[in-house]
Amino acid sequence: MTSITLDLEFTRANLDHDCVLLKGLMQIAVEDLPVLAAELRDAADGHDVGQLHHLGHAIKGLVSNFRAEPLTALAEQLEQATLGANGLCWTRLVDEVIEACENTSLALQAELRLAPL
Amino acid sequence: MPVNRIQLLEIENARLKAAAASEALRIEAYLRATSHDLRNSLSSVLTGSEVLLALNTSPALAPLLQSIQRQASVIAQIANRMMVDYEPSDLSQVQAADEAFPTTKMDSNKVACEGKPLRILAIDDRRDVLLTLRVLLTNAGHEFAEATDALSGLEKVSTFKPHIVLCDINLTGSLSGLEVARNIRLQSTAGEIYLVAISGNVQAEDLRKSARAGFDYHLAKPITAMALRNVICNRPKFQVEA
Repeated sequence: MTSITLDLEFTRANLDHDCVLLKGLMQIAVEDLPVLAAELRDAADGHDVGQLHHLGHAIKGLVSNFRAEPLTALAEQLEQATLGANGLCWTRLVDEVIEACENTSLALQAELRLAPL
Repeated sequence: MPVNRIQLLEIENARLKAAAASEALRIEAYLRATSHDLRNSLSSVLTGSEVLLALNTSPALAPLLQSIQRQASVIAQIANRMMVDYEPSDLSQVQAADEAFPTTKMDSNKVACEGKPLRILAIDDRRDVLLTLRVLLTNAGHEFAEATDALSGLEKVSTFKPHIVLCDINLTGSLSGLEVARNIRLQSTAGEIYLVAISGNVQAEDLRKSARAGFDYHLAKPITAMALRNVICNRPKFQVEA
């Protein structure tokens, strides 16, 4: 499993140190990442490049809240690949993004369990 | 699903607890920032950030602002490590620190501005974005409405009559954020609305497209309280040629 990095101090600072809001955003990511990963699989199976582009953008936006790597970078690569902009093949990226979604969701769940509030 | 009275009380109770916890964290963060070893570096970062926010009418300054924000984040992490055992016990320390080092004084954690509360409409299909905007803006006393698609957003422009509209560019559905902006600008009564695009894409071409569509400004994701405060209070305008 690729190691996941989260920068929750960055997120907290962005939110004026509102820990309840931070926890709310983490909870949304934990709930939405598996759904987005499943939609990604469906879009890849159906070769729906437009939907893959949209999902790559949505995942990037969701996890950039936490500077979650490598998922933020992978989602951006997928977004660009579906435009043919970076020379990468989206079919390879999809599996990596899905795996990173699962791992990031687990990492956020672990952080939520440790959260003081 | 309607909520009953007990649920409402629980929600209110949670909200009060959250506000108290947030305030405690704000005071702690402030005291941490007064640590002597960090005073100079934090002061320069905060001063630089304030100057940039004051000047931030040009998207060209955005990378510099982001660089300063990154520095601030690193320094805040160092401060947190240094003060990990710190326990605030006396509020007079806050006053003393305030007098000794006024430049580190943080505003309340509200995107508040002088003057009356504003009506602000957010149009975005991502619930994390809507949650962030809802919490930051309602805590600041503004009246907040939201829509998750373009058509209901345009309907709320007519009914809610917002002073400010924050609209995602990559909306799902039949209309994009750019088309929402064009539609709003076509409404004769909407001339005074301050329109802000929200997007993770902030290349020069993205800014030009936003300006051409009728947006006044472009707010980058992820949204930060500081950037939101700047947009709501100062209402900067594009300096790019549409």
